[in-house]
Amino acid sequence: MQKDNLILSIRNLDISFQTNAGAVHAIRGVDLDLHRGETVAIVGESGSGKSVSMKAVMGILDKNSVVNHGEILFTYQENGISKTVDILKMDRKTIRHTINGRHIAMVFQDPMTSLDPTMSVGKQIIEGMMLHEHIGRREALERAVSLLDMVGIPEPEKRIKNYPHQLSGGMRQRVVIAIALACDPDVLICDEPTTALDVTIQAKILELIKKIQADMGISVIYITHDLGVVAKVADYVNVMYAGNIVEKGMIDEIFYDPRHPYTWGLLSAMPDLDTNDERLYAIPGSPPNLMHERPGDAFAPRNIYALNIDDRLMPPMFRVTDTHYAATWLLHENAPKVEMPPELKERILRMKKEAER
Amino acid sequence: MTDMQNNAYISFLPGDFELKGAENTKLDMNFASQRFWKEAAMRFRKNKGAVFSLITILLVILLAIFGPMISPYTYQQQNIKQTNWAPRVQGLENLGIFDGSESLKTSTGTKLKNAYVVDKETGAKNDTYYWFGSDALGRDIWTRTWTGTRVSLYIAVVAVLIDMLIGMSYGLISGYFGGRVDSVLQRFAEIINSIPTLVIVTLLMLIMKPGLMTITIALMLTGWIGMSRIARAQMLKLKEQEFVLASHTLGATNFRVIFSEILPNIIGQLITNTMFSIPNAIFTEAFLSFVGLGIPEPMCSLGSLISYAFKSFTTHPFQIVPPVIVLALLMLCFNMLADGLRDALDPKMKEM
Amino acid sequence: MSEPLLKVEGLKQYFRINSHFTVKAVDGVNFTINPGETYGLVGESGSGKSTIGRSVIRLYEPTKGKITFDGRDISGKMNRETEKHLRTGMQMIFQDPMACLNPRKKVSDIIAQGLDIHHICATQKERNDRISEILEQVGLAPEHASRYPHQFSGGQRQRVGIARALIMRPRLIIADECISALDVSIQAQVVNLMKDIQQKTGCAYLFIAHDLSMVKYISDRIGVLHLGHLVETGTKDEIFTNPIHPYTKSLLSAIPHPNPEVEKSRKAMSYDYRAFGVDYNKGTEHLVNGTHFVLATDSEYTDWTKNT
Repeated sequence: MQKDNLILSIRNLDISFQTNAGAVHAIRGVDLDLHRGETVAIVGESGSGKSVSMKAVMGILDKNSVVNHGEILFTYQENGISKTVDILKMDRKTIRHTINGRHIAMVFQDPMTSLDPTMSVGKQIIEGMMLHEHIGRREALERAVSLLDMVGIPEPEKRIKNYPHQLSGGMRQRVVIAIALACDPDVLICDEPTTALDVTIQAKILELIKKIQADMGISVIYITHDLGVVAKVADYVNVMYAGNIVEKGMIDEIFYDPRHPYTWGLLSAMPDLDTNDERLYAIPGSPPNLMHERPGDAFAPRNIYALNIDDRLMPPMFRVTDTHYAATWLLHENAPKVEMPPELKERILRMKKEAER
Repeated sequence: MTDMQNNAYISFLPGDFELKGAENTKLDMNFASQRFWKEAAMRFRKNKGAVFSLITILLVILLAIFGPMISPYTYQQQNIKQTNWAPRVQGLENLGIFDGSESLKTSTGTKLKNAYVVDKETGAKNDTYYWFGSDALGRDIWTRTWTGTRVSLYIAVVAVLIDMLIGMSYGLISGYFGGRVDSVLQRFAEIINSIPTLVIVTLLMLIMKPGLMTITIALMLTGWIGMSRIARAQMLKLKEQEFVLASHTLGATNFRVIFSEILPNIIGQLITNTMFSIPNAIFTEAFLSFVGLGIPEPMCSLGSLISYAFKSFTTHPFQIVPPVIVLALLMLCFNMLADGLRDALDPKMKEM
Repeated sequence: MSEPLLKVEGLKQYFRINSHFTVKAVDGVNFTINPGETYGLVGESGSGKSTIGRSVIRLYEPTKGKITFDGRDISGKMNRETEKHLRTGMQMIFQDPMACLNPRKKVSDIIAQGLDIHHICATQKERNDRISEILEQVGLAPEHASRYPHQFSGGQRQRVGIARALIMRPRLIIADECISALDVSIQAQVVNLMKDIQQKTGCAYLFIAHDLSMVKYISDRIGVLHLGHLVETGTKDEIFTNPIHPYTKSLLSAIPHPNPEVEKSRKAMSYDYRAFGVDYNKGTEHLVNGTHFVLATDSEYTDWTKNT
């Protein structure tokens, strides 16, 4: 991952929301990098802030949001020249004209509500195309047909005229992907694109995204809570909790050598098909209330490996390898030697053995 | 926070790196603290128009109750010698307004006349005061206005309350049972709805004597349909919700499900709709009185007052002003209040 | 062999949309649940699994078929005694934690709803004692009883839903996708709780889900549902070690494993119902071994078991 390959760089992003009941500190200092051709996954549960950080990248934050500090640097090619802009400093209109759809496209979770029920599928695909690329209707329609073909919809010339309600859930999500790809963007952000779909359809959509990525060289950011999905698609993983990235690393490092107790909890909480344990290890408690900020580590109340310092100071990112970092005081040299739970250790050994086969 | 290890900045305490122990994570103590009615009240308070309307309505109600009491006249007391006298208020007359004088436009020019003056030379006035003036039969307009307000409010509130009870039950039952029951009930409501209010009132007049009861019944008969539609729509929305299904699986009777489970969730909407119906009822009553189908003399309501004062509108315009202002205020304020209530009980936040 | 707690025979549930179109949500399903065991019903959207759950608990009236609960027939018109037996002995936990609790009622009233309906507790004190007992059992603090649902998170609300079902001391609990809407770590909490409850009270579960790995973890026996038909049933070992039906195989292969090395190179098996030419109405139950059954015609069956 060379430095000149860096196309998206989020630095120290900090966002709050003003609500009736007080300020919600949703994002508390997030650093994230995306390189060309890479697939980065953001894993987290509700309230982790994964969707909000990507909404900031797209410039579609809610009106009551306040960006306290941070920058989102995006590098793209315009007329052959390389340009770098700070998306947070741009106004909505400029973002919509220059970035959205054209360079960064987003696929949302629910295909039912991402498509306009009153417009035909073809019309929705060519809408963005004609706006950004100023091409004629006929040419746009031809491109739309080839896009539908690329996303695996059979008989695309007929489907162009269909309305969203005439398509199944899986097909609708394919159409959403086609719309996102219409203007040949550099970055595709997928916000839980398969959560609302059946597992067999999910497998196909994931394979489709991988194929598109290989063919078109797009960089993908994947937001999900499903570690199985992450294992399938991601190169690099960021684990988020309560508005912070608590662990990040290459995919092998996260799955085979996790260091943060939250990551241990996530990995243990999923039964895989070979689990024979009597009890699933579950992270106790519930997701944090983002309105009540406590000093120190936000994960401490649910962390059975918490240290006293976790109540006072927030842990910085500790380096494990050049690509693997974890924000936990357990990695400090003074910290007691704590190992991951034995069930998780066993499972990882099992997985490694299976991988060797 | 992505600082690399900068231990030089951070000072550690002894015991920092000891495990806290797992007992503290046992019970789940999290919960949010705000409650539905508190938040709704906050939202309402922020809406200046709604708060102003609420205060105005309360003022009008207070005046309707106490206004006639503090006046020396009754609403039907006539004084033939003191007809069409202009408003005269103690204290304000020294400022030059409300001093009992009115300017009359006649064919020979504008004449300034003051009926209270007993001695033409000195300009000394007698001891009588009519705060809003007197009407063509010598009755005090102030007393009649507030008595009329009482009647209008009474009719409106009674009619709307009964509407709510009937309409709500009708709509809830129709929506809940669906199918054939719903079809029949809705067709019946549509038929009733298609008969104009005026026709119903006129028919009622033929059967019953004109009076307070008749008007109230007339309003009742036509107003419940709007309420029933709202109740039915809300019921249809909530019928398939999982908490309703849960009640079914626990063996709840239909009555219990409708009134104990579903009704509390739609009461906000019903209250708002009730608030909207009150100005409608007030105006309908005023209109009926204006066209002469309302309550009979000497009883008065805002509408009948306006109707009566309309006759002397060109000669003594001051007579029509008080009931018109009160009517306009009531309607405007009830509408704004209902608006404010609807926004406060905003369905986005806590309702289904 | 003791009597099964729940016996479903030939259950059909059709919904008539209009005079031309009837949705055949469940089209002939047979299964049994024994006391104290967990039966996992797996299927995707449109398979009819939620409909089966709701038909069994008589939220719908079955179009055809017989349902026997604890020795009594609950599929036709029930007399008052049978109805009471059903409404106290069988309970349901729902999917959406946001919608399954009445937002205008306090948690204590929600939980005690069953007690109030059937007048089970004689005194207020008895009622409150039972509520506190249940709250503790599901891992909620006693202070939670006087609060309202919107003050809680999804996982906590689901616990309240479980408490509401549990307080009736049911023999069978139908869990209709009750963990699908929860975060992963909370899912584990709720599943652990359900297992604990089963150990303590000996209740049975009909666990309806689409997540095969969770179903495998919690169930004793499993039924795979597709388009309203049970295409394969058996104990979890039988199904997972030797899946016969191509739909079951495609379902299994579609689950992503959290093992990057393996997962990246793996390709899921696909199963296109129409392309396959399988007609579920023509199939019959074939016994593979033990309690493992597959829905297939004779020729299909020989085809599919050729390689095993």
